[in-house]
Amino acid sequence: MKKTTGIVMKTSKKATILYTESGDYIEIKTPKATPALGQVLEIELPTPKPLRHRFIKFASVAAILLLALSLSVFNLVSGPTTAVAAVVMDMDTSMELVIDRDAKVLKVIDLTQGSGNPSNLQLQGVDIYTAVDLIIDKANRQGVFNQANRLILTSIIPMDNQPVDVIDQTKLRKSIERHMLEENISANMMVSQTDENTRKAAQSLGMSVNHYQIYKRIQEKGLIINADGSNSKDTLHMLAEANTTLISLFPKESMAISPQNGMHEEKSNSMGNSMTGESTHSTDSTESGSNQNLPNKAAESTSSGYTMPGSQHESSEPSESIPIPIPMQGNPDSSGEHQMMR
Amino acid sequence: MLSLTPLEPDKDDLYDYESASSFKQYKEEEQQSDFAETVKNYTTVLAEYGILLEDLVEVSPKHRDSKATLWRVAQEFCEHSNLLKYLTKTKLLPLKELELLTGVKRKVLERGRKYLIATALILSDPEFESLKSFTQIDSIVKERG
Repeated sequence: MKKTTGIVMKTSKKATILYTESGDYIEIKTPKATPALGQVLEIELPTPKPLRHRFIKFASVAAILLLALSLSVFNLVSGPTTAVAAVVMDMDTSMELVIDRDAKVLKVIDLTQGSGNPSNLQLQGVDIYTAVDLIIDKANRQGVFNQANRLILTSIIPMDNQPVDVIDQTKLRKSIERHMLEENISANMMVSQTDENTRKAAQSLGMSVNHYQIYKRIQEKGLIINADGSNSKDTLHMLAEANTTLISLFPKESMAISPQNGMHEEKSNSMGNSMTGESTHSTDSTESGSNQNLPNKAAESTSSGYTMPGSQHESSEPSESIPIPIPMQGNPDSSGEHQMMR
Repeated sequence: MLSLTPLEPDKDDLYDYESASSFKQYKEEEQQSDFAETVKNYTTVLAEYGILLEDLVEVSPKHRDSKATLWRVAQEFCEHSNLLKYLTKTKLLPLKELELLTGVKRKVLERGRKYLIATALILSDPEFESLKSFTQIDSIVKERG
């Protein structure tokens, strides 16, 4: 600290102005013993802060401003209008719904060119769950579900490493399930989550991503006989050719819904619990066997209902839910212990 | 034999000390009184130029070189009575003349206008002689080298 002397030029309770011997006019905090006008005081001049400290102060302010600016720009750029996910739906037609951060529809792309275009629904700005309901409603009005064994296939595809939780897979599945029950729609439904790579692979083969996932799963299980199965654009036809069912291929992601009787189609054991895949075979072969003998059970709706997602994949006798040819007998893969495609 | 030395030397030393101390205190009080009077007048005169002490706190040069430059300008300014007369009459600095006289840029003179007037008053007005004496002018002006 450098010392200097100064004459008191003005003083108040808070501050005192001094004229120093080095010709400076400086303001100091008034000492406890209030100085008199004209009194000479010896004071310690505050040493100027090193440049480093001053630089840190300015750098901090600059960094905060820069951060605030960056956040503002980021918010503008990645606003709610940025696509974060796509939902591909396959029923009689195939369409892609591009979804924003708020899980609302940004755009509808009809992937089935030349066919009836369900995308003429005004879906922009509608949340994905409602949009899917509206699409199903429209298909229902067009009689799509009047035929037996219809499929509602849905895939969620996060885009460009965006957060995957924008669309809740379980919520979407339950939403579709609830809506189908409310509208008395019978169909086999699947909601899965996949990725951009799978979509690209599907596009390269000219398939929808849902169709491709089924095709791949059939291939993985060695069920496909015809290597040219990829040419089949009809998913039902492909499943029939492979002699399998959607639910046996995707036990966790799919379920059969047949609301006429309002009953679950899954089997329950004597304790009232749903049966699991392996134990179904080993402990209740009578029931499972009887199911296998009813390949078109769902279509006949002898004991129709719907299957809860959590239990369906475990009690996954393929023939118990959908009326497609049963998988090869004795094939361990048909027990429902399939690896998920995620 | 009679000694010529004081009988109570310690007492005399104390007397001298008290005397010196009192004298010092007296001088300080006198100086303070003088300063107080000067400061009052100085503040009043500054106000005539529209300058407050708070303004001078704000505009006092922060760098030694700048301060030295302004002091040198003020010194040269005070050597020219016609320029001083202009200042006291109009309360304005003859910036153009000062620029020519000192070679210091008009912008610098304008920026240091209040400080320059305050300094010129200290240097030129005999009424503020005590402030002039208090200021270590040489060391300020030498800063510039």
